[in-house]
Amino acid sequence: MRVPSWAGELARYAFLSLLVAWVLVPLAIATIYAFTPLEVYYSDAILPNSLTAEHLRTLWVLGAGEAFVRSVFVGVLTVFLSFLIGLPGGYALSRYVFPGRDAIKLGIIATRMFPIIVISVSLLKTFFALGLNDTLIGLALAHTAMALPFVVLITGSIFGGIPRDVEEAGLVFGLSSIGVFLRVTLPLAAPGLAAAGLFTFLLSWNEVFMASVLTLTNRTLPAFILVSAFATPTEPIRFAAAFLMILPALLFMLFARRYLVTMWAMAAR
Amino acid sequence: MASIMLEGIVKRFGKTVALRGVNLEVRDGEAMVLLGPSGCGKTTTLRIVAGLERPDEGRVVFGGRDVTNLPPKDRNVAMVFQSYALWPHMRVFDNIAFPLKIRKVESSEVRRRVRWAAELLEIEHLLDRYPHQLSGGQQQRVAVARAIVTEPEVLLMDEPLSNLDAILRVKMRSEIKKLQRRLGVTMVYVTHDQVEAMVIGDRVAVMNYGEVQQVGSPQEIYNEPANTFVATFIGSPQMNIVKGVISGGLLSLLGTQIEGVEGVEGEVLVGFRPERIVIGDGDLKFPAIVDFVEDLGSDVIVHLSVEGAGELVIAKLRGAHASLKPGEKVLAGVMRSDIHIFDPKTGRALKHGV
Amino acid sequence: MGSILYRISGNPTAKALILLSPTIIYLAVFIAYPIVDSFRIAFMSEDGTITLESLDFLLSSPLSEFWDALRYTFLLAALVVPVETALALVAVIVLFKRFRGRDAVVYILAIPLALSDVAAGLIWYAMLTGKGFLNKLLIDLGLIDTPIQFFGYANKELTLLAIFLAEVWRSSAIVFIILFAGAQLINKEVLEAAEVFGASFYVRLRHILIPMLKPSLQAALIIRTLFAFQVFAVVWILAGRDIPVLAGEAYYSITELHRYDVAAVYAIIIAVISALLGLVYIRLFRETLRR
Repeated sequence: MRVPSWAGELARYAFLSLLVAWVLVPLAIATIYAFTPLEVYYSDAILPNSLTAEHLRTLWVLGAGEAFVRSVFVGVLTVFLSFLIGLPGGYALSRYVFPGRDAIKLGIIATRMFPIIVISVSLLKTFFALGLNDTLIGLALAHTAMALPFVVLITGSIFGGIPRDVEEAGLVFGLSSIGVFLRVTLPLAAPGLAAAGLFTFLLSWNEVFMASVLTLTNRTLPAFILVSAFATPTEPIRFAAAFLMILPALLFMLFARRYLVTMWAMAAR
Repeated sequence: MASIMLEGIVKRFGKTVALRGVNLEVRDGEAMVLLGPSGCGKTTTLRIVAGLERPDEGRVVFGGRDVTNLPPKDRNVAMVFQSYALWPHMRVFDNIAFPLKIRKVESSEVRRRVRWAAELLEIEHLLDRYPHQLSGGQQQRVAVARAIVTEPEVLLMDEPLSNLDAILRVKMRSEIKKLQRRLGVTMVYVTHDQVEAMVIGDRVAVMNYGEVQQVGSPQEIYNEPANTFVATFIGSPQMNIVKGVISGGLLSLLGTQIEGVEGVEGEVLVGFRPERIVIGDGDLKFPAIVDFVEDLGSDVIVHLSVEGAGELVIAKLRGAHASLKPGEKVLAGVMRSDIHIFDPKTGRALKHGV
Repeated sequence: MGSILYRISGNPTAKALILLSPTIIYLAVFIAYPIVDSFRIAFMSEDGTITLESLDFLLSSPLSEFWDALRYTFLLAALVVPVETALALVAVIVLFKRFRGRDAVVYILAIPLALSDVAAGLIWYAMLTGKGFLNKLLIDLGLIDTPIQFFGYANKELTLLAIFLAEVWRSSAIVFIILFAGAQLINKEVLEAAEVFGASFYVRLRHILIPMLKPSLQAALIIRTLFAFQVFAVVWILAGRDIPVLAGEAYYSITELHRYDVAAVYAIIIAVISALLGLVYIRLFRETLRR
């Protein structure tokens, strides 16, 4: 017997609604609880009828503001360093065919499989020796190591999407190689690179292990939350911390929508 | 404007040799077409003229100036790419203006020159659009406008019409020819289409296996092909080539003979074009049986098998011969002046007309 | 000068290596060297002699939870990865055909990928804690009288369940996105052809869609398994050391015990597991490269 098509459609929409709820409900609940007055939260009311920013303010007093700024600083520095170092490599991988190209590419992919935990112990000792422990620059250097393979591979694929002869046209009509890169390649790659940059920022923003072991007084936001904010017995303050962490991620989602599927499938590889 | 000299150009890509010593002179203001099958090295030659590839050996000279080691930007060339290679992030106006802006031309002059080029190619109404908003034919015109706007010494075209439909191609090829005449620019034009080559080229360089096989006017290439490759590559259907023997001035072929062939002895290859075959007339006549008739309306392509000789010959006849039936016996003939003699080992032409 | 640069530009190998050298050097200094250095930290004492003291601590100290950490790490990987793969696969199949609002659904399902594990842990804490959403809801509906205690040393099974939910919630997105991107590459006509020839939905799924998704499935599985062995913040936030995991023990060794040698051993163990999985992955990647 054939199932009528409207029943199939209904089942599909029901299933998708469940999936969407599964993702959105916890997100919404944590966000709402971050703004729920204490007396309401500790009552039996499931949802509050009024909201308050007092938990966010408390968090600020505890030092979340500085931690937020530090995280932004480390993230921006990581994006800057990893693009400065990785962009030329990505360009080379996309543009030149040379012996050893696949080997180098595989080598870069191979470094991606080692989590930051693996390098953190050694880096921590080295940074102690160099006086880079508890510094944001040290953390950005570590995050750059984590982000660099991604940046090389993703920029490689972005440049690979730009036709070679569009660049050659630039050469023929009077630009130098550097001129072509700056005035033809870069403008064409810009939207993709911007999305890749945002994603790199998020990699750093979300990283907690290295941040927690490397910094002590200069904690970034995730480290601050893991060590300090989580020690507070007042639960909604923890949710306010979660909200602070989530915010840039959601903004990123909004800006990078167009590149979402391709980029993340790439990022995962 | 400038002449172009290529001297002993060798280019290798890894183990494959793309060009094995190309020598070519393009005269000042001349339209030179590089013609050949794919992989013959014609595009590589063009890219070496542009400076997009560097030769492994040999020199590139523009009007007495050695440009072998100069990057493209210092050569004053312009190019129309096969894919057009318009800059997708720029409007049509900016695409055409960009080469001028790079050369730091003053902005009122830029506007004047862009308008001039756009008028010439009838694309004034498209200047505000982005390339992706244009049809293939329009993109092609923009690419040409961009190439002529700087009044380059050398204009290069890499199969510029290969992405256009048949009707547009015929229209554009004569327009390009007129444009080149009008501007008097030295042009190198790459194509694999022999008709395009004949229409556009003042001279045509036929290439194969990374070498220039013959350079000459369309008439020379057609009437006096330098070897069997050129002979069979040019013309459609391709030239008939059959085995023959010359002994004491007597050429024997296709079960018949013709006297007075001087200067060559021994085994040879004999060529004659399908369109030069006539039925029942000619200096050399041979009996044949009709195998197959393709009626094209204006012309008829007739496949003939020559009795006893085991050779197949193709004839292109007037439409009046459409009544020929398979199995019918005919007497086919060729004039002496239409017979070409080639060396069977090297393929080199020994005699045009016997 | 210009002509010298032009001559270099004629040699793609030289140019490529110049452009790639900053990356190669940086990765050598910041990833390859630290991995090698971890062995020195783990197995070499101050005076330069080889020592297995760290390993001894790991295996026999009362402060060490090594075997439990190993067990729980594997257990979590074995629970989370298959469930989220199945979930993502079903979602991709349901989302295969275009319909109004599909893009919106894809974006929403991808959101957790941008979130940190710290945030994911906290979000599920908000869902499951005594005053959390779930308990309040169940009490409100009259299904329970007292809140279910998910957390605390006495409730290990429920804590594990909480970690499981948070991990599936957080990391299904990455599997989903990889599979979805793979599905985008499948030529729709192939499926339509099967439909024309009368293949049922099940046959199309079983014999066409899933086999064609196989490369993406393999990639997603390997990547997720790799990440599963790095599980840290979600566990740390929801369970602390009640549920020990390898990365958590490394963290504890550094921050509480100040035993860098022990942490280095954990780092090496994680690196070895990652490398073994990575080898499998690179083999697969090579095959796709070849294709």
